[in-house]
Amino acid sequence: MLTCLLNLAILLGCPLLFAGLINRVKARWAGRRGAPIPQPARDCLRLLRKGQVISPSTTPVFRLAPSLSLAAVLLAGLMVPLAGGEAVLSFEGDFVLFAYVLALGKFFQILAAMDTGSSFEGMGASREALFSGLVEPAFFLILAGLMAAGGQTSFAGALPSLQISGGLLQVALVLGVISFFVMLLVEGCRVPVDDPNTHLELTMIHEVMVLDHSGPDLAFIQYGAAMKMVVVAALIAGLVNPVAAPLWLSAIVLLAVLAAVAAAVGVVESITARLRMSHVPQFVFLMTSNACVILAVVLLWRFGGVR
Amino acid sequence: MEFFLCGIALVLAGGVLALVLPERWKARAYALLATAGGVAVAAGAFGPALSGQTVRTVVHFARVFGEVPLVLDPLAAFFALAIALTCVLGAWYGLGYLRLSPEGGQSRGGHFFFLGLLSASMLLVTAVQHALAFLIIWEFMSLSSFFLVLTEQEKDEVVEAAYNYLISMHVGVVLLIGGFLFLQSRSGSPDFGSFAAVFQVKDFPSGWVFAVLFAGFGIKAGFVPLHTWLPRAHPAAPSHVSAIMSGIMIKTGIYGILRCLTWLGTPDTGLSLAVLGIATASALLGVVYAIAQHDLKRLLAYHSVENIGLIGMGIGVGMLGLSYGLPMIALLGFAGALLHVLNHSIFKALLFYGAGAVYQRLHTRNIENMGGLARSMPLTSGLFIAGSAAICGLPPLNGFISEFLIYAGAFSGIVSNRVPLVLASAGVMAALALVGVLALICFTKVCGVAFLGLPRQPQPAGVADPPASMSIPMLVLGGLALGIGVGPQLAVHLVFPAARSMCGGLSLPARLQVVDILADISLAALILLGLTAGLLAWRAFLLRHRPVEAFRTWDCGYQAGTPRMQYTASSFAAPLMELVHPVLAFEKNLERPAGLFPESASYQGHPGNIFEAWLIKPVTGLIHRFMERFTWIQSGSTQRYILYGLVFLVVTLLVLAGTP
Repeated sequence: MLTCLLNLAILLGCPLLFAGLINRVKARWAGRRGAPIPQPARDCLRLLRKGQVISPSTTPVFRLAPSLSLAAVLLAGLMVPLAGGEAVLSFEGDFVLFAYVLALGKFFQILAAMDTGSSFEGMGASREALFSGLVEPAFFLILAGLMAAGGQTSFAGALPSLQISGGLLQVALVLGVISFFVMLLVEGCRVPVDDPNTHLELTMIHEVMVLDHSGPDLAFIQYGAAMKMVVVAALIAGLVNPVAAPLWLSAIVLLAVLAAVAAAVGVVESITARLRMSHVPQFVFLMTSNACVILAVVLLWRFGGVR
Repeated sequence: MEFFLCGIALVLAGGVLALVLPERWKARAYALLATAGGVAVAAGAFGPALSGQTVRTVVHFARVFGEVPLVLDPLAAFFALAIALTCVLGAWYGLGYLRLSPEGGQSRGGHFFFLGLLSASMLLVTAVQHALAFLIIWEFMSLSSFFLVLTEQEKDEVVEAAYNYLISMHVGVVLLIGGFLFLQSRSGSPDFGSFAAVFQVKDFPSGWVFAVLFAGFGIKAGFVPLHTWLPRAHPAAPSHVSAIMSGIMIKTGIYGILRCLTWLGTPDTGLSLAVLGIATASALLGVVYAIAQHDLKRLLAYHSVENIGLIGMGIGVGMLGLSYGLPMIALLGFAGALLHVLNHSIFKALLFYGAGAVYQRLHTRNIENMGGLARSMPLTSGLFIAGSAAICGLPPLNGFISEFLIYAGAFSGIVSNRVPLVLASAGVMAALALVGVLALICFTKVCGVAFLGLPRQPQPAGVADPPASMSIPMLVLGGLALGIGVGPQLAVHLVFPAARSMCGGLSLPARLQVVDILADISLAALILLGLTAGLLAWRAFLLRHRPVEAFRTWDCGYQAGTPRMQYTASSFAAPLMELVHPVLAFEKNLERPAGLFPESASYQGHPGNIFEAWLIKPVTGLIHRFMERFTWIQSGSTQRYILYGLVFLVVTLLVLAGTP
């Protein structure tokens, strides 16, 4: 019960700090002082108190999408193991529901973008659909590798199964961390896939899809987007977080990994430029190839006797 | 069994009544009797489907047939239930649909007669376990659906599609006749019950016989590369016929494959992997071709190929489980395949009904000419979007549940200790995920372009939701999709007895752990719905005193926007099409602008089908060229035909005289 409450608090509390931390790191890297870390949280609260402007070309789908997408991300978050290696909702094969429920949120966000009738938003929607779609097969291949390594078929059981010290599986562990980091960059629409700070609609992906949302809807979307990043970052934490650790230690490791991932996103964003749109699929295939290597390594370890 | 047979008789009687009754009563009489028949069939089939018991009678037919066993085992009963559901709803939808469409070339009476014949033969084909009788009823099914495809026979494309369908079906039935004859010659009896023993005989080429039967049934089901009739026939038929054909008739092919599997015993690993490979190719190519289409019904037809592929992947996983002697994997694979049969018949019928409602109002199937329908047809659009989410396998709808069962079979394979099984299972998971996201791209395209935004062309007057006879079947299907998605732990009991019967002699626990997992999924679905409702309520609460203004979509400062500036379906699909163009056989027709003041420029693109271009056309071309050498025989002059007759008679007489 305590673990459950703690995890809910982490899931609900971290997202806006996570986004603030990324911005802070970027500002520091650029030599600026930067906004305070809770700034995105304050922006969200302010948006919640505002009215809305809604385009007359839209239909009820446009108004439904932000709430449904946030609910989907929340449900996905409930299934990810956080502190103590436990998820609030866990069952065998929960990772399938995790991936599909995130896809449900995406489905409605894409529809909302198409609903505005704007060409820019359609363009962003088309790109989002493709790029984040290419992540999914790789995600399942990584999970296949994790399950083959540990014989466990739930998130909470499978994620720590590469933590066997000193051996071939360390390679798989490193590749797994890299893959989930790529997944975070794609799902969170960060550089080099998408630049959240760009000002040209033609080159945006996520930002252009939400151009016409305002008020509480925009707050839901921004909170949901940040939570999606935290959820994927928590997968990285799950890979490295020791299973046998006591709750407090596990929570500290989790928070430290989240902070480190945020810092890494900030650094990547500061030192690289975004890729050309036509090259983004190749970047995503990096994750797919990693996933194949992970699976191969695990099979060698388990059946080939290579240690 | 009595209920089942009475139900079939009622459906047939409805068709015959539609022939003789006056015009205004035809449709209603058929719909009422089909409903009564469907209820009777369900009453007869629920027992065997839920309890797993087998009901059996033997009908003594004329000399030709001898004893015809009619068997309602769990497998047959499950398919009968799914067929009854689709046929009853199709009858009501058809009533409204034909009333609204312009007078076609075919009479209403004939249409409903063939609809009754198709429904009755589909129901009967599940229960008949006699090779010759099965083939004859199978042929009734193909012919009656051929006449239904011909409903709008005044259009050339309809006639072409119908003949394409007819020929495909007969290629299939030839394979089936060959396979069944071979089996019958070995077992000495046309009774299906005797075939299983034949497969167990040493040195029997069981893999090849299964392959021939798989090909024969696979043409009906629409597996790649034998699927080319589907994307022609479904757009040509009226929507309720498309829904019945795509929703359930092609599943009789799946039924046939599963029936053959029960004879096969333990399948070979190679055979299982081959089935899995064909199914995966069908799923992936089906959805890729679907994304390239902008004709709403052709797009849905390609999605049938995709979903047949998903069902086949479930069957493949089940076969792998059988071949490795792992009963849980086999059960999950077959249960996923069977549940997907039911689920696909629900959401595909819903989508075809939605497409039909749109076609009747706009008289176009091209989604680039639609747009903004959510405003004028809110109910249809909402249900179409729900059906789209279901076909993409998104929770909390039914498509997710059957895909989850196949995933569950796959991850049970991954934790096994057989390397080929682990690799195949990982491949299944990745392929399922890829198919899912491609379907998502396809249906966000359709929903976004056709139903959302602004109308892309001026719409004719009177665009509105269809009348109750059409919208109620859609509501029922939408409710079923949500019901199975939210209460999967109850719905799976409909497929477990049939799936258990597929697992042959392998022992399975009475209480299955997967039911508990499904209960967790049900809880998650409720949480999702609750959270959404909560957030919507909170949003409404926050906005209660705040201004909500209407202002045009952000247009980058440009003031003269028109609906034509909206993102088109082609543009939406373009990034993906770039990645997959090698399999598309894309035909481009480009006229470049030339000179300083170009006067004209044009571009046309047509997505093709590599199987049609590289496999079907060369083969049919070869046959055509061969046959052309004999055209001189058909001269058109009466004298020569009389000569042919005379020569034939003389030759026959000589032959007869020669034989003692």
